Amino acid sequence: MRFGLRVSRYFSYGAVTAILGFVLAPVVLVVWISFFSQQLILFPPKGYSLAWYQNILNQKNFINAFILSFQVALAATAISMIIGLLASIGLTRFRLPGKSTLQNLFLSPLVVPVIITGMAMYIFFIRLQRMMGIELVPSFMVLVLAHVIITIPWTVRLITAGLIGINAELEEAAMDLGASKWRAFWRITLPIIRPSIVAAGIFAFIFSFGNLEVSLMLVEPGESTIPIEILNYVFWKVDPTIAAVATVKIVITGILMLIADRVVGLSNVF
Amino acid sequence: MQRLNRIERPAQHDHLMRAERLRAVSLVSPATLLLTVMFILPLLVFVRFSFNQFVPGEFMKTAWTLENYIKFLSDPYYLRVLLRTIVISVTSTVLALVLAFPVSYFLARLRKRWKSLLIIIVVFPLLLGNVIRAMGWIAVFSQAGLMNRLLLSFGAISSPLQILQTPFAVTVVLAAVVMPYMILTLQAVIEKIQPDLEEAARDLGASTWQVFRLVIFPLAMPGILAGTLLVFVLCMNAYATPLLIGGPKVLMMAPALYSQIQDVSNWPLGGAMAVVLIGVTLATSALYSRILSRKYIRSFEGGTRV
Repeated sequence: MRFGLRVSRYFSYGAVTAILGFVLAPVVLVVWISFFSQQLILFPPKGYSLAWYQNILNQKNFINAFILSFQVALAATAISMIIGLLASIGLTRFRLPGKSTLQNLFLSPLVVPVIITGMAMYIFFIRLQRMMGIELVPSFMVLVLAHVIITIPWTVRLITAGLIGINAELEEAAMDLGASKWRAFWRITLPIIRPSIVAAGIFAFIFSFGNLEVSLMLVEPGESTIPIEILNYVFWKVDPTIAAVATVKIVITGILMLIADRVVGLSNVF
Repeated sequence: MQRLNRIERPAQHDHLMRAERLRAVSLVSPATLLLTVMFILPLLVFVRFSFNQFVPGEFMKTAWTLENYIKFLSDPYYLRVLLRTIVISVTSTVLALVLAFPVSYFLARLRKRWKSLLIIIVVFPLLLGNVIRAMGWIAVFSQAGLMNRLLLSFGAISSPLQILQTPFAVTVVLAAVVMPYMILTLQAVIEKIQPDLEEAARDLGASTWQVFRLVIFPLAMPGILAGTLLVFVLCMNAYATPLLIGGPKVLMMAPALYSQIQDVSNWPLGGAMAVVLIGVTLATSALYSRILSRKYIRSFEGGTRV
């Protein structure tokens, strides 16, 4: 009986490990390939090399794509955090007509296929551009705003959750002691929900940095974001060069995720 | 009574209410404005285009016609793409559910410290985006890839198999790609099922399978419903995975839609395809959740039956 229990326990550990491996293995494989010495991928590799990482520095298109993705993600995150915070305060701290409609509106970019969102934006701004005579697509501004749209659901969701979770009486107590509503918010509420705000920022950044579909039609040819640059390469071949580029992205995302986990705990977000 | 209240309410209070509402409206207005201009309006324009007339060579002619929808729904080629998308999405969803359930159960019953570590492992691939994960799967499934290498060295096959560009590969990779969402959704629900319930069932003589079928499964039903719905929608909308793993041989809706716009510049037909894709996804989800919740409630009523 005892032996049977132990066997079934080991069996279940094995099964869970295998299934988690199924999810994680491709990522590990990409990192592994980035160290292969030969260009053509063969298992097992003939040897290992760091040459591909050095190689990235000579490939302007990847460097530029990283820089563009960084700029877009940073700008989109800043805007998304500010208007997401404002919207969350409006949603949670005030009586507002049509509150649930607004909530649905803020979450709606999650429902529509992102590729359709990107196309719709493209054609809309092409039209607008013709009417107004200024260049909108491709432009940095429209690209950033498109990324704000796909990150808004996350910032609103995370900050709203933070605001709902805290005790409203604290703010009231501060107001009873003579603080204005604004001051009470600034000095009491904001510090308490800081983790939610930081998490919202990090996730907005990660999702913007990793998003492929919304940018596809909004970038200039030859000046694209890093997911598009990787897609265009992988479409033709997978080799250690692109694996090294991907590994750089994996490391950046990993560091950001660990910071987010420290601040709020990932299990509270997902 | 209501009228009395209105009279009794001091004028100053009314004024305050209005000021507060004004402040609330001004707080939500930037986000509302941005979403309306950048998201809702473009989508409406795109939907409007689906009723326009496509004129090859020119952009399109303004019209109110259903010909794009008719063209899509009467062309076997497009219908096959739609059907393939639905079949692959359903299969991937089922596969993801079956694989995710044990992991979620395991996670839900873990101590907090280990649980946060495992959640990091589950969430991480999800944050990377699908292109990098597809890249890894190409290295697994290609002719000289890991899978063929292993099969060859075990002598299971004599020449490399063509795995990429098959519906099988797309189904498996899609399931792997969406699984983190399934695991997280299920885990959140299973976590709330009291372990005491399982113990009680076991004390009453239930086997492991019976505990699963009669206790855990029905109680996890809301999570199963939410998880499968979310994952199904993600599969239906998938772009990078079918493009890179399936290629032109296993064309699905999102890549087909994109090439309709990018290669042929047929915006009216593209718009119709977008409407059909979103419509089919919503209709399937609504139907599914209705059937399942009805069945779920019925099985709940007959819960004493063993």
